[in-house]
Amino acid sequence: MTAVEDMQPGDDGQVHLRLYVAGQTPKSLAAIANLKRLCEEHLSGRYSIEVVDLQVTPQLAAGDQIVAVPTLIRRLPPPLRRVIGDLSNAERVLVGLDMIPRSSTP
Amino acid sequence: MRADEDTGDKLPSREQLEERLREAEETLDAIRRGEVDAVVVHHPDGERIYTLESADRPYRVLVEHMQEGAVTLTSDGVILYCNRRFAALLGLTRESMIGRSVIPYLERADARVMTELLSGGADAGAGRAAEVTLHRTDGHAIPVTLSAVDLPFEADLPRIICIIATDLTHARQRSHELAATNEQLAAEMVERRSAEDRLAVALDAAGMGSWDIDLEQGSVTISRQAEVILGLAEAGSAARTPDSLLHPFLAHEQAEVKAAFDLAMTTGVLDFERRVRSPSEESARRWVHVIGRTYHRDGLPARLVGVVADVTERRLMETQLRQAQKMEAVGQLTGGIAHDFNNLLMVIGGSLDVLESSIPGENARAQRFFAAAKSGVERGASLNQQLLAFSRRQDLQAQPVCVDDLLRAFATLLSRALGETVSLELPQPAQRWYCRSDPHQLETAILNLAINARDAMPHGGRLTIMTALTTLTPREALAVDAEAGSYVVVRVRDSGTGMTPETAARIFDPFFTTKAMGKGTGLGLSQVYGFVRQSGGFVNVTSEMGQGTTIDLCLPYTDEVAAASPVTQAPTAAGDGRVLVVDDDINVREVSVAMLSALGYTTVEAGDAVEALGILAQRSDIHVIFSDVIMPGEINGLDLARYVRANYANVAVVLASGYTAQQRDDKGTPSDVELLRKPYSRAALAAALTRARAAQA
Ligand SMILES: Nc1ncnc2c1ncn2[C@@H]1O[C@H](COP(=O)(O)OP(=O)(O)OP(=O)(O)O)[C@@H](O)[C@H]1O
Ligand SMILES: [Mg+2]
Repeated sequence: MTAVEDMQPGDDGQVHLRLYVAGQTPKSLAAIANLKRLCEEHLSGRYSIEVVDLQVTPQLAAGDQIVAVPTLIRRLPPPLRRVIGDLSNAERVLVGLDMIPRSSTP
Repeated sequence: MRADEDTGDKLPSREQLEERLREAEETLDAIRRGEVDAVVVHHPDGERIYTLESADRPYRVLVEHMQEGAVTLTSDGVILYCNRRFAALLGLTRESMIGRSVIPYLERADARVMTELLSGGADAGAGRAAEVTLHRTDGHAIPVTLSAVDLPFEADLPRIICIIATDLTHARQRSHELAATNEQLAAEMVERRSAEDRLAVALDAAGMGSWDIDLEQGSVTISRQAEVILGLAEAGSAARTPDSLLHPFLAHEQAEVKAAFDLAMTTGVLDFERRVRSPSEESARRWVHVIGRTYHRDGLPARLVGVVADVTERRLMETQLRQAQKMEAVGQLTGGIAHDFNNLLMVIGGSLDVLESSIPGENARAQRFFAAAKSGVERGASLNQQLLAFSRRQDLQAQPVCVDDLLRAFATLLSRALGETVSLELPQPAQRWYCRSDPHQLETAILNLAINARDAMPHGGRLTIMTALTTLTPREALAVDAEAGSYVVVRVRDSGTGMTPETAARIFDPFFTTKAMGKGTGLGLSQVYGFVRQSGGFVNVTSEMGQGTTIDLCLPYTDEVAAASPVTQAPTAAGDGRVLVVDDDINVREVSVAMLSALGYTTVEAGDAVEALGILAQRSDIHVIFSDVIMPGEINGLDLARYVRANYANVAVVLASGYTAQQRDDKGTPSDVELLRKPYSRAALAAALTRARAAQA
């Protein structure tokens, strides 16, 4: 797959992801489920996910400048990437995470 | 955070700005597409998360499906929302409840509790709980726990209280069941304890002790009473082992007792009677009856439980009863024989009397044989007298007797019978007691005892005869088969050989003797026994090999004092007059007729009472009726005598009998009827006839 070749993994090849959710809102639950599936498909064995519930720790929203929930942040490898939404559109997620090239610029 | 540092104080590059723009656009896109359902608003005092519409649906689902009732209320109790379960608890629909007060759904007394829950007090925010009862529309009451919490307070919103209601019906029911079970258990324990108490009282009353061997622990529990019975009281109860239960038993029997216990483990039952050493007297032995049962656990013997009772007295009484029954049976037999034997002697003796006068005086040889024959009859008669005594059918002439007076009058004769090697001692009693007895029979009894004592002291010794007074309680009296009351004890003690227990058990049996052929007939003690029993007393024997023998004759005490009248023998007088002789035994009748003829009487004979009455009715020349007491047929001698005394004022009556005691006891003999004991001599017959006719005159 070309997508995989284009990927730029961290020094150890690991992709570190952080997902911001707000309790168990339907989109949050959907985002967790979608992310899990995508990672298994494209990054099997090379990723880690950290879920931050802003209902519990709202102050953590400031760090990554989160404005909408759910938001996915790629922490490693740099640069920082973010994808907003429930991650239901797999292609948009992969693009947002630089895992496949951008087809067009909006 | 690296990202922050990168974008820190430096001015952002163009690329970075473009990237941010792109992100902002994407965010807006996502919001527009509805892929976002919460936004973060950055406030100076921190971030706030706002969820968008329907973002709380998962909570809703959870709340709707949970088994607890959930309800949100205003602070004055108006229902804003409730889940299906809460409505179901009350048997209502949700629609009918929203907007109404919750208070009417509660038991009246719980309204205040609810008000307190709603007001929340000082620390609103903190959870509060209470138990209340809900009222269903169908009238059922539902116990619930309510736990309330305030929704986070916002100044511009009214207070909202969330309450979770947990149905306690099942929990209550279970705790009721539990309480009921506990109560039942407690009741059973009380019942059991009182049953145990009752059992202990009952065992105590029965004179039984209980014991319990735990075979698994090897420990023993034993009641106080059982300790006393077994004589374990002194041993100290600490750490008693099953083996320690064997110690009270006689040393040579312990192995058998242990074997019985071991066998009980397989058979399941234990039941034996054995002797234990008496705790009070070292030499004494007591009989105990041990009964038990084995209880198994998992097929193995786990406990051996039972009772123990002292049965010494019972065994003693049983022995005495057996002895008494045996004596009674032998007595019946002996009595029957003695009666026939008496008639035989009567015939022989009477015939000899009659024949004697026809033997010429110069025939010395014939006279000698006659004398021998007559002494044979006398010996036979005296033996028969002992048999009758034993069978308690002799004619006792009971009267108040002072035994000591009798002994002193009798002492010379006794000393002579004892011989020179045996000394006789007659200690002075504290008092002169009287008993009711036949003095002649008492003399015979004492003589029999003295002769036995002499025979037991072939190398000499001492014979002591003393008297005492004893009083029996009803219980003691029962043990010796006598009446309760006072008895004069005539104690005859020798320093002779003593007896083995086997001999002692049989000494009263007629014809039981250990003496050489011709030396003893075995009737001496039979006479003693029969005479004392017939007098209403009893005999005690204590004897040990090498220790001598003591025999107590216990005769009923009396406070009457004897007007002792010595029996005077009337001289033989020649008779005249007509005598009607009544006897069913033709031989006896013939002898009687011959004797009467020799005395000068004329005679008429009858075979039974009916015939005699017929003759009486026809003839007026009968002066005396001489009849046997015992005769077959409706009317016996006594009845005949009574009838004659009542209807023929001038006819005298003489009765003859081998044993008359019983008949006299039954109905009594008319006072003016003479009684003659068989076998009788011609002289005795003459005297009786003379007395009877004198009474008539
Ligand atoms: N004082 C005694 N000491 C030891 N043994 C005795 C004594 N008195 C009785 N006996 C035993 O009891 C037995 C029975 O006694 P009992 O007087 O009935 O008969 P007997 O003496 O043998 O014969 P008899 O008819 O001549 O009296 C005796 O043979 C003797 O063995
Ligand atoms: Mg004797």
